Amino acid sequence: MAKPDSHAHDPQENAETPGTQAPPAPGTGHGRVQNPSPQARPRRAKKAEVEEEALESFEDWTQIKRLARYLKPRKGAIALAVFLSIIIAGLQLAPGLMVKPIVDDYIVPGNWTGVIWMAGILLVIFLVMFGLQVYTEYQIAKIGQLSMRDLRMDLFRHINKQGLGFFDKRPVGWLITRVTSDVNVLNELFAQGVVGIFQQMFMLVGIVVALLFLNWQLALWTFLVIPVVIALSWFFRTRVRLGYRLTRLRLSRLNTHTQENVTGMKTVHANTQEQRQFGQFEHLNDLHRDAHYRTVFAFATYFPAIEVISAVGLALIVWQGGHQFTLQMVTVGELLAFVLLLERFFAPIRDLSEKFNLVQSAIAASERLFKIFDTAPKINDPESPAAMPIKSGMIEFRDVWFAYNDEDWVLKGVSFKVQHGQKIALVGPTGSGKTTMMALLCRFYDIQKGEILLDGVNIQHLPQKQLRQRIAIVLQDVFLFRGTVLDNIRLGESDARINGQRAEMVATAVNAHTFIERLPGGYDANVMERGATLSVGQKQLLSFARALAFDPEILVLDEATSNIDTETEHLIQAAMERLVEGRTSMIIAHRLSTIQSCDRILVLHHGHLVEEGSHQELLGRDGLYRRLYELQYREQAAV
Amino acid sequence: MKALLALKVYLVKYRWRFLFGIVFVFFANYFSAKVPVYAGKAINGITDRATLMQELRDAALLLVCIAGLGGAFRYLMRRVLIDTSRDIEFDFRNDIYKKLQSLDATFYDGNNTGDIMSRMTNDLDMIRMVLGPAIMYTANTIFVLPIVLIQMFRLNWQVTVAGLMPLVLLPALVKIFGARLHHGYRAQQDALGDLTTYTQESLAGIRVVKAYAQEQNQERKFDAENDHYIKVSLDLAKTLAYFRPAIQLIAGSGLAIILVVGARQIMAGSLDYGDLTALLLLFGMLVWPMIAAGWVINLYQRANSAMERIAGITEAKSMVGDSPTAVSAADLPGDLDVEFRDLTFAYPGAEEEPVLKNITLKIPSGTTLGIIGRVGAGKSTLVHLLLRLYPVERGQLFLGGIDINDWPLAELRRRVAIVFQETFLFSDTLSENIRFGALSELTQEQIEDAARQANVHDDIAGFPKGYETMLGERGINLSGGQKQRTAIARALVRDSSLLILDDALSAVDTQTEEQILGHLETVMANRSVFLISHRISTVSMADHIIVLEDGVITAQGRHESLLAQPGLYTELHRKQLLEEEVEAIG
Repeated sequence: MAKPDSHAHDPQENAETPGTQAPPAPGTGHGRVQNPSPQARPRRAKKAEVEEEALESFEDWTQIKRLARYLKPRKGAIALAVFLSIIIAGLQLAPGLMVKPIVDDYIVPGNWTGVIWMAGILLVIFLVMFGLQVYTEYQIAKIGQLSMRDLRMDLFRHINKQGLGFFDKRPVGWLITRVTSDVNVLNELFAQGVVGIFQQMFMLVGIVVALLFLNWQLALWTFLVIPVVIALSWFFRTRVRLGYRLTRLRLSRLNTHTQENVTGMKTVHANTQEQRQFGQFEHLNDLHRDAHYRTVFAFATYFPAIEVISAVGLALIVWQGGHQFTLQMVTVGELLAFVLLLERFFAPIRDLSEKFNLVQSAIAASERLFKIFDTAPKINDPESPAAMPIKSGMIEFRDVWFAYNDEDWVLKGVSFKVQHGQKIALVGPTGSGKTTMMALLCRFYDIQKGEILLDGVNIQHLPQKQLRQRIAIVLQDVFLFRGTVLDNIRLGESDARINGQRAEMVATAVNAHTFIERLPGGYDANVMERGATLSVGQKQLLSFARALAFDPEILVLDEATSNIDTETEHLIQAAMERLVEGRTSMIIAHRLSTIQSCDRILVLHHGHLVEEGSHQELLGRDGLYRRLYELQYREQAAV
Repeated sequence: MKALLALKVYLVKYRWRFLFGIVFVFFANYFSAKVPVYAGKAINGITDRATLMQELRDAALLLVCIAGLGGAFRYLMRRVLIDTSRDIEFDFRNDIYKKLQSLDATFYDGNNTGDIMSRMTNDLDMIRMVLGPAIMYTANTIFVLPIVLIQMFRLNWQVTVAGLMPLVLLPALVKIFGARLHHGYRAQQDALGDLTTYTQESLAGIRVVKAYAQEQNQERKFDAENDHYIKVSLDLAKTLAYFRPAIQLIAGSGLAIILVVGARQIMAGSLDYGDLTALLLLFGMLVWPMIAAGWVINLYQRANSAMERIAGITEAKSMVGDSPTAVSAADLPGDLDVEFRDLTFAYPGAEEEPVLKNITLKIPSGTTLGIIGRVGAGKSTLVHLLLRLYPVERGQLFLGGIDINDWPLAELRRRVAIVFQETFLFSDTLSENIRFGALSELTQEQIEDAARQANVHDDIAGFPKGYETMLGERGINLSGGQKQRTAIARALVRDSSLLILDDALSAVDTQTEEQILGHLETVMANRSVFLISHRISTVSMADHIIVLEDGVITAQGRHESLLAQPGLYTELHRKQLLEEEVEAIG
């Protein structure tokens, strides 16, 4: 049979080189720039050893077992694919097996029609095999893709369930690499690995049986090469795996260095350290090249060695086969069959060793994925939710203590009560805990001590969804999604909940309608990533419209500090008044007019609630508020 | 393919290796093709019943020897050609890096790190593929076809011609599938891009998602993107599913034809069994190189576009460099008087919006200058020009009486130390980070002295590993103030004539700031210090203070005289006092 796959995987050696790694992220990048200073040099050799040890002790099959869960729903399809693969493996032996009868039964006696018939049968077998292969390969791809889809879906849902603390610690880029690249690595395992391993195994067994069946003495002679091939493949696999790991590691270091230096180029220039940094870079570049040399060596040895071994097999057939032929123990047809079958023999062995490498990288990827799966969400819905309280919108903080980490208290025993429909302003210097308080009310984080109550019920006793549906939060830094203006107002909600008409109505109410109308396409106008084409004021108005569209009982709002032109400023002010109407509202206020129209002002400082009262009361008290007023609002008052 | 021509330098540099490599390719294939021929001869001998056991053994040994030669050359071919491609990758990467180092801030303002990185990684990898495997397989294909065909024709031309007939379909097949696969991979990449963008956005906006309880809707949209990706991938899989089996079918038909025509020839007595075996084996050697040809063409195309992207770096021009009229190092003055002569500056590409307007200012060496102004007033730009991070027009800025354009860049930067507003430290040890500013070897004591003057020694000494503490990803993360103070220590070991602190004390409390400024006074005695700040306390002790507003100097003088007049300075002063009060109350 033709030899396409004897080299078919060959180019992958190069395609697979791990040059396309994403910039290092926590968990993947061991991005420690090596110290190239003179005293560090002697340590280099030792370091490389340590590196390799670390690389080797890294194999955990339990991960694979966990992955099997995703193959379960496709049990039937997998069984069918394996079954068909076995048949294909059998059919691939057909030319080798049919050569014997063709030669011995037809060519030798000179039966021309018989040869034509046999060739016809062979062609039919090829056609059947073609059909089966096309079907099976597609089915296998489908198994892989569908398993991957499920895995990706689960992963995304799991990430979505996490509290905000999870996201504070993990860069978005890192999470994305998990959801995309790592899952894709597993796809290869699902698709090629599982079925491929079966197919290659059966192919091997099939050839061995066929050879024994044709002529067991000659077969045993040929089998002499098997241990050599297996040993060689094992050696190759180990070398390549180590080589790949080492390359990846060193590439990651090289990239870390480059990324860091590109980012800090100004610092390099200002310190005229170009030479020194280039020295470091060249050293890392050199190490990276070194790692590649190893892999090249492994490939350069393995492929020619297999070629030589296959020639040894051929030589054995010639020598022993020739001997047996003279003793009339073997026929011409059998000799030919042996030559052709032997040719097929090496492909599965090599493929199997490649599949092992696939499994290796899949283990590494799955390890990272399961680390995420094993991170249980910190904020969970109560098992038995409290009965829905009367929806009035009363908020109470009772001796609330909170820290993002350990004992770094951001809020230290804050207590206050907001009655239904009240409008509260939060005031305090930067870092006093205002924004944190808002996040806590939405239960983005759980507090360590005390209680936060909504209409008298601890918010931890409410399902998160119900809690958040009652509160709308408008952040200073407005986040807009790609999509239309309408999408951004109603987010993912359907027409049934927020239709275009309602969106238009709320937009009108918050003065956003006019500018939206002017956009090309109006409510269907495209919003770029992060709303790049809209002004700060427009984004603010849009976020008001969004909040109003969801009609919450409680409104939490962080007023924008950015410079906004006076006209928009007026629009925003008017919109805000409409927004808070009939709702309980808490506003981090940056504008005097907002503060003055509030029912009550809470003054926060270093996590304590230090003052409380109306604007006039607090001004009369000569405390922190008065200073803040002088600092932040007096200019506005003058205008 | 034009862009790839730029690689000529490297091909020329390693021309002998390429030449040898290609010679090795020839011999590897020559000997490989001889193996079936000799095997066929041996089988001929067997079936003619003319061979003795002794001769059989010799024939077998000969086979192994020829294969061994072929293997040896194949080993050499890979080692030489692929290793060379790694060497070129190494050289090329070094060259790009050097180029990056030579480019000025204008380039970095216009190119984000991600883009640069993707050129240094993915694109460079594509180039490497062309220089190694692509060249190797091209040579392989070019040699295999004639070598194998000659052997086949010599054995029996009728069988050869008949057997080759289905193979003529191969190039067409590779071409058609190549185009479809190319589209398929594109579509898959795009779909993956969409999925990535969606995930990115959804996770970046997680606060909004959670605040509006939109998790389920997000998941639904994610599922749609995910499904789309799967659908596109499966479309691609369908094409792929046809590709390999189709090749096998074509090769199989050829095989069947060889068997039939070969049988006819044997019956006619013009072909031996051994020859038929050889023909079948040789035929198998033809298939792979023909597939490789299609694959290689695709590689060249992709590498070409990669090279075009890399040219964005290699062809970029630095707007700052040593001028031909540069003063030689020996003639440079020791004192660094700074003089701005009616300087107006706009960033390249934004010429109609000057950031600095008509700045005229003379600061004698040894002066402490304070620069005060709001965000965006042009303070940082002013001092960046002193390092020539951006191009400055002639006749507008003089250091030590020499036009800044006539200063050799390295000499200029050697004399000026700056602590940038945004502190940048490397993920290296603290001591290495401080040493980074030095122009010569430093003792541990010198490093610690600088750290003491920057008030960061006690912090560092408090870390378990002290000065050997690693920073960054796998090390400790410093607080903003600690970072700034480390950067100040780095600037202090520089032993410069002019020290610039660009708002470099913003994250440091006022008391520490006072101490650091006190140290500076001693360390930088007789040398110039420029202090940028939006805090009055930082500059109040300066010899001279300028107030920048919208790129214009609106007031200047000493602290007391500035306080005596209404304006930004007085206003900032009042605010600062209030802030201190607020702080005190807490």
